[in-house]
Amino acid sequence: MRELISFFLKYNVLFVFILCETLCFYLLSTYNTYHRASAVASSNAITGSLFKMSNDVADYVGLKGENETLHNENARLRQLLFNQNSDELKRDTLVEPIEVTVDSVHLRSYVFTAAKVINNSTNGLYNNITINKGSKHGFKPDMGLVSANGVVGIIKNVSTNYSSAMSLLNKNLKLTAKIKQYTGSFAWDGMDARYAQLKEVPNHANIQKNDTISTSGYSSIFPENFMIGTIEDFELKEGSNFYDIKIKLATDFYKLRRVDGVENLNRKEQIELEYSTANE
Amino acid sequence: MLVLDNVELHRLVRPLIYPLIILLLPIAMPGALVIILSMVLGLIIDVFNDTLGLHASACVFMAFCRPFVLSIFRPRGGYEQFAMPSYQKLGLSWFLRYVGLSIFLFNAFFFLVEAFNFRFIHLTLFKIILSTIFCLLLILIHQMLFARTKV
Repeated sequence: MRELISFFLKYNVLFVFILCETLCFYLLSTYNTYHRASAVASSNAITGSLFKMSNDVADYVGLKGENETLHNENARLRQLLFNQNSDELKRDTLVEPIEVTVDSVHLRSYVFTAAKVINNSTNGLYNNITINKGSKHGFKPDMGLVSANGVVGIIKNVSTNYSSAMSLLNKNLKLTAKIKQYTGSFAWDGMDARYAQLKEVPNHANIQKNDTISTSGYSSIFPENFMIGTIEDFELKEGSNFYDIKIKLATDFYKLRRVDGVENLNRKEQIELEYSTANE
Repeated sequence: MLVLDNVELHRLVRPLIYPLIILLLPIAMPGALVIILSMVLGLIIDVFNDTLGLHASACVFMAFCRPFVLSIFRPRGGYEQFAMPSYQKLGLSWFLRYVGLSIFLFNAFFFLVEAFNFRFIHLTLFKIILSTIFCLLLILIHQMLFARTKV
């Protein structure tokens, strides 16, 4: 027994090293696989309030650009509002208005709640976003997160006052996207925060540069036809049945400040229905 | 920390300065204590970055390697007369070699664990080398600005 203790004492550095490293890798592996405990995520109260403090300063600097974005969005929404009911106006305007589905079920199935980004990274392989709204404001895991320009991410973890979301710039994020009527799977390759990839678009799709890529509405998180980005470049490898498409993301993740949480009111019903069908 | 997280010079460069805290611990400090301290530091950084375990594992690795790095660059008289590894006492070239190798080990471990595969090994290597150079530069600037001249 004494020899064992002296053995441990002799190599104490090595043992402490192995112990610590094992603990770290355990944390790393559980963290990537499951939903994290909110006690240690960046959405907890201490880190959240610290981020908020540093963000208050950064807010002043970004005010001008922020105003411009809001102004543009106002203009777009006004256009949408006026074009909705008049077919005459629709024909006159050069810009094609976005189609609004008027269906009694879908009439109010998505609720948008404004929030502010208080922490955001772009230079890792698994980037996350922390926002200043939490369960107190009705935020829940698996809600969508969008900005004025396009899709931003998916909320994964919620505390009372803060939520953390998986950004589009996260290699773990999977999303179905569509170009015209064709769907593909969206992924980020971890290289550039401005571009992402779209795979599995069949080779008979007639696509062009600058075509719009939007959400498919399959996932029950985002509404259909919500902007993700535009085609920057695409190629069809010889012998391949699918395009490799490079997307220019509509959201500028470097300047992300204001976002909206999107909640699908019908999501629970949809998930339950799908679940019961799958189990039959 | 909060400032540096928002600095992105290039997608291959990740500027970090906190490993310096570990590197500047007293030389005579027992190795096990250094490892535990660096794990705590790494975990604090991780909580802010939503990357639990990533920074911590790299910090622990660097702390484990610290005695070996120190012994590689042992000056002629040994370390007995020096309590802290500072560049004013041990000279700029010693400090550069010591911090350079440590930061390289840190970055190598960090980016390999982050990527967790060898598929984009050339990209990872690129990241390691560029980030090491940049971190070294940043640490040097920090030392020249803030280090007390008379210790």
